[in-house]
Amino acid sequence: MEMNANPAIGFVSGGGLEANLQVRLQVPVGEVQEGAFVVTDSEQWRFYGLVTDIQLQALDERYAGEVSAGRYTPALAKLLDKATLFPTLAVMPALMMERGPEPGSPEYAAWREMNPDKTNPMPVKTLPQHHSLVRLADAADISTIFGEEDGKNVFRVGETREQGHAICLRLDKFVQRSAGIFGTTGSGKSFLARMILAGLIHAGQASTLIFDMHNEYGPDTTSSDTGKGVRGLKSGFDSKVRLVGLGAGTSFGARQPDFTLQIAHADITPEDVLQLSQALNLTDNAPVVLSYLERDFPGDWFTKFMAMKVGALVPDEETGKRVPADDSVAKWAQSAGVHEKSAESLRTKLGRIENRGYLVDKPASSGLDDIINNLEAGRHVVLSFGRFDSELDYLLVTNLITRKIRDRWEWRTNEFHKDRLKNPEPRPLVVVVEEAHKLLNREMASQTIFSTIAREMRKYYVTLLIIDQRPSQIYDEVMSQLGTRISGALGDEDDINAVLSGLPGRGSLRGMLAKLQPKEEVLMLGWGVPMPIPLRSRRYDDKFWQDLLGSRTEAPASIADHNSLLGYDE
Amino acid sequence: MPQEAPIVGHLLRASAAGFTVGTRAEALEALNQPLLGCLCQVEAQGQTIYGLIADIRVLDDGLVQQLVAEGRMGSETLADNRYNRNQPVEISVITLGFAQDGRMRPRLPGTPPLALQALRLCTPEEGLRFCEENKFAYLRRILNQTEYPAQEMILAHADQLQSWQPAGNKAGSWYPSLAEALIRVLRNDYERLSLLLDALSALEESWK
Ligand SMILES: Nc1ncnc2c1ncn2[C@@H]1O[C@H](COP(=O)(O)OP(=O)(O)OP(=O)(O)O)[C@@H](O)[C@H]1O
Ligand SMILES: [Mg+2]
Repeated sequence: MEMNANPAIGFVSGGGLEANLQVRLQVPVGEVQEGAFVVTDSEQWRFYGLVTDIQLQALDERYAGEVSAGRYTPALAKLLDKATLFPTLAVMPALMMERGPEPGSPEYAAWREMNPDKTNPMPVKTLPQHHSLVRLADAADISTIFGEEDGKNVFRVGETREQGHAICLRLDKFVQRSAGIFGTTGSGKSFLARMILAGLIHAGQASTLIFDMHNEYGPDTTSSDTGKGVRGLKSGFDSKVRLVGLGAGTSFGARQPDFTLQIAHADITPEDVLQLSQALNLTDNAPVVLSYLERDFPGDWFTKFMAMKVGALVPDEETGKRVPADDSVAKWAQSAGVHEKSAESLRTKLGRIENRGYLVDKPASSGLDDIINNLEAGRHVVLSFGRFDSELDYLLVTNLITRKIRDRWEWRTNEFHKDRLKNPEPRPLVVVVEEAHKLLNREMASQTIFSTIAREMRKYYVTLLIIDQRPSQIYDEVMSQLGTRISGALGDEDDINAVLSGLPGRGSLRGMLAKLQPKEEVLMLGWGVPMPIPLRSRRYDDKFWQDLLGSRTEAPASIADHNSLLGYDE
Repeated sequence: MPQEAPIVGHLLRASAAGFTVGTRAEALEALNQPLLGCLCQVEAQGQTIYGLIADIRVLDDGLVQQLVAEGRMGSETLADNRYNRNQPVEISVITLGFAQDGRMRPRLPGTPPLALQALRLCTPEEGLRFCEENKFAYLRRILNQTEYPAQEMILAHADQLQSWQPAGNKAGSWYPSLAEALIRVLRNDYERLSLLLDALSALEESWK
């Protein structure tokens, strides 16, 4: 293995596998930052670690407690400080890799013969010796660990903070498990998610379904804090990405959606309604009522139920007493043997979704199937909620679609396992949800389809990319399943703990999360990355798109652009 | 060995760690310079032994005691006592190192110098060479002994080195090296080191 070209910054002076390595710093303390990626060669190993703390230490506290320059001459003060005050680093050892004997030595040639293949980094199982020199990782070290940007699968997400070396993410690994992007508001989650999604779409290993609650992924938008235009995925990839508007008549400024999504009443299942229990404040009896409705009106329970009236009374022909009318909820409840008040309460509460503009009796087109077919065909779907941006809409629509997807992907996977020759392997799918805690909080997690996906859909080729400001609000069982976690700055203790849950080195990484620079820096960690690493996030701008797609953009951004290219300017 | 180096005295007795020379009060006056902390050297069986003057003792005898007791200290008596009598002065030297085959070493020599050898003051050139080649490692010997006032010897030693700088110059290039050696030896003794650095700071200021 090549020598690292950087000068030594210090030497190993103590520590352990559990307790972090202690490194005596020999350069001015300001030259090293928390989170720096460092390497140490010792015997046949190269160790890779992360600076998790910097401490100012003194040979005797009294040397530190007095400003020597105020007491002695400058020459003496400088010498005294150098000899008695010293910064130390805490370095979390993360990986090690066999490097063999010194290159060029006879032993090296023999070793090479025994190990013709490239050696791979592995988790640390031993430690560097005392006094091993520690250096900042150079570009080669970083690409050894994180891979070398290849314009496709190995995707650059940012650079190291010290020396600006590229840090990459292997997208094929990234999509194998659910992932999360976290950070306080304005920390850059949506920008980062858009960028990674662009990478995913470009690399093409997986389809993506993006629930775009705030209309920021598909169409072009304007950055709220710089006022500059921000390119959406639709204009970046054109036909690869289907822009779907929820409800008829949704548009995004000048851009029309590729198609709209209307949901037929018949598509709503009792399960979908139960997933709204909290939002609609349903009673404990609602599941019973729903099950009777489905029994009595298979296939069109929702339509039938909505046609019933609450409190409609007519005079009884024989007695003249006022009794429930034939089209009343109470009437049905009586006949079905359901508690009347519970049925009426459910009917009243469902009134809130009855009039959502995208719920219709007979949709003009088959938007739901189109979404699934597009995803199966390897395209990407951005479902923009347009004006339907209430929490209720979000819950209802995301659950309903995702449940359909789960059914389809499960079926496909089973078919594939039954006969691998005849049936194709399912297309991996990443479902992207913003404000994920609304769908994955502790109370909801048992009800929504999303926690099922997070926990077990990996087997069925579906994973989640969840984006959220408050990771602590997300069900821990879901959090602990997340393979890759990318987090911007977080202030709240609970949020920080949630992001680190289930990972080694939590204590050391905690401080790092709290000190990330908003909009600029993120910490990437988890199963999907070889070791935790803080980085300066790549800028999502015109240059990004140029680098990704080459100077030739994939297709004209819009019909309007296309027309102006051809000289048809209105 | 530069012959012009002035002789301080001749060896009375010696051990591996140090030795004592004797001279006459009159001869000391002729040297016309402070002696405490001065670098000096003596030849011994092919080696040049280097040391630092640690103490100067003017000895008494029955006559002096009698003169003092009687209060007879007129200027004539003083002059007579100084020039006509052979009343000895003893100078103690701590051995710091030696030179052999042209190389300076900060260790004790294998054999001490022999009686009646001449002790000479070092010339500036030789003195600086001894200090710098040894990187002041010999200061440890001065600091670790308790018989003589270590701090005073070191300050005097530094002052002698500075007196060899061309006039008006600030501290010579040897100075950081000396300070470093002091700090290295004493850094675990905060109190002693800070007192020494206080004094050294004051000395350094006085050179400006
Ligand atoms: N990678 C990036 N490239 C360019 N600008 C960025 C980047 N990340 C963040 N920014 C800047 O920071 C601002 C906030 O980022 P973003 O909208 O992604 O925050 P957020 O974490 O999604 O916030 P919220 O939780 O409120 O949705 C952006 O408007 C943009 O100006
Ligand atoms: Mg956002």
